[in-house]
Amino acid sequence: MPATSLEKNYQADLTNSILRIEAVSKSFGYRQILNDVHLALQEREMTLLLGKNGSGKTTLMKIIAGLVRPSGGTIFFRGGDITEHPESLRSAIGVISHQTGFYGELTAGENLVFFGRLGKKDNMDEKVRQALEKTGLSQFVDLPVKTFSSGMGKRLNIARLMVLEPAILLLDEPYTGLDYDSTRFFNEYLESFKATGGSILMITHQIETCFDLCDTIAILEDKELKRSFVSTAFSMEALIREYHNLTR
Amino acid sequence: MVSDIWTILAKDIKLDFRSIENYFSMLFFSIIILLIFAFALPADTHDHKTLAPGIFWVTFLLSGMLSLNKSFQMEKENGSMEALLVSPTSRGAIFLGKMAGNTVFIMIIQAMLIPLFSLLFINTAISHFGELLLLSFISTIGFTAIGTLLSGLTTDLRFKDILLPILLFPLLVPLLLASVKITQGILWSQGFQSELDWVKLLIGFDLIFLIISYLTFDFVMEI
Repeated sequence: MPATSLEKNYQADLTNSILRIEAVSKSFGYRQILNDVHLALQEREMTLLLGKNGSGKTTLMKIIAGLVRPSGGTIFFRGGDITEHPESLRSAIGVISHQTGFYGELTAGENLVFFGRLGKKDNMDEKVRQALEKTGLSQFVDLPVKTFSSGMGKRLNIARLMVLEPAILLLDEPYTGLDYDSTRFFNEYLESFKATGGSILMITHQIETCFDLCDTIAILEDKELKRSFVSTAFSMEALIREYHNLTR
Repeated sequence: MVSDIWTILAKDIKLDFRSIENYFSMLFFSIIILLIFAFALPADTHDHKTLAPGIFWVTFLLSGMLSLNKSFQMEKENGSMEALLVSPTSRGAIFLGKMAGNTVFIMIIQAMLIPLFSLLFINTAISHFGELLLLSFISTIGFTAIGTLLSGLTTDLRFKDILLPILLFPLLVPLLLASVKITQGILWSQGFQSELDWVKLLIGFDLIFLIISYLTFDFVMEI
């Protein structure tokens, strides 16, 4: 991918970033997954993280979510170092991954109340009711989640995010299993999330589905985050072409 | 933190009752073990008094394994463990909530087993129901403290059903010894008083493994 004047200057990003990772590395035994990775997430922006399968994208996301400890480096959240104590970050992040992350035997309402309580949210019943209404799941509130389709599970995930009101979204292949309507609904939610000051980090291979929402594109290559661009540097076709070259 | 523990415990109890087959399978498994021992032992009440405490605690150990095996199973389904770990609650609260869930599950089974144990081995055991249940509770704390930790550790591994008892049983030897000795004292109508040293050992075991498990759960849960 050619370097352009629109290539992001990492230093310039530091001032306004809500979340910043500096020189983060991760090894599992002798196998190094990430090396000296720098990344900054801004409020009201969505960053698309691209890379080959096995390039460490999901590991990087897990490090940010506090699920995996980095072998080295520092993570700052709103200017404070939270590398050793990521608890303060957990109340500010929402995660959507391949799996729904709900208890199949519990109903949709019970799942939302459970995660809302752990998220220390007040006025739970009203928040759950509103979230289910907005996601079109009101009539399924008393159904066990194991009876939900993949798309309904994703909608319920959005409902959980609405209840938890995070400041940062970490999305790992969120479009998997979504039909056209659900995809459109999901993108509308992301757009409104950004508009209210939220920051998004997304991993997906479906670039065309989210290209219009992206503000920054970061590319993870050879264990390092080598390039970071504002999305206007490329047309969608050019980006997909380059992405195919990268992952070939 | 207490509210988080209660939230996780309430969720586990709800899930356990929605999967009531777990209770029945564990109960039937325990009944079968007791029956096998009852058939295998000679019909001599004196021998029963000596051997029965060991049988009671072997049954506890084997049926308790079923509880531990299923402990993190519901978290693994659909990735709810990740959602739980990403929530702002502390890992310590997650551990204590899961441990409390296992304790409740095992105690319900123990309460049902004591009358059957009395019927099959020592008729007078039922008159010590309260003492045996209290002892079961103290032993269950130690069992679930280390069991919940190891269950979390092995839940993603292949052969976890075999690996868990291999790791757990050797660590439970002091707990088993103390529980058997105290049970003997109870069944000989001497209560806890006659085996105070074993009671101290049991409580010490509970405290040590509760603290160790609480402090190390954070590292075990790194995924």
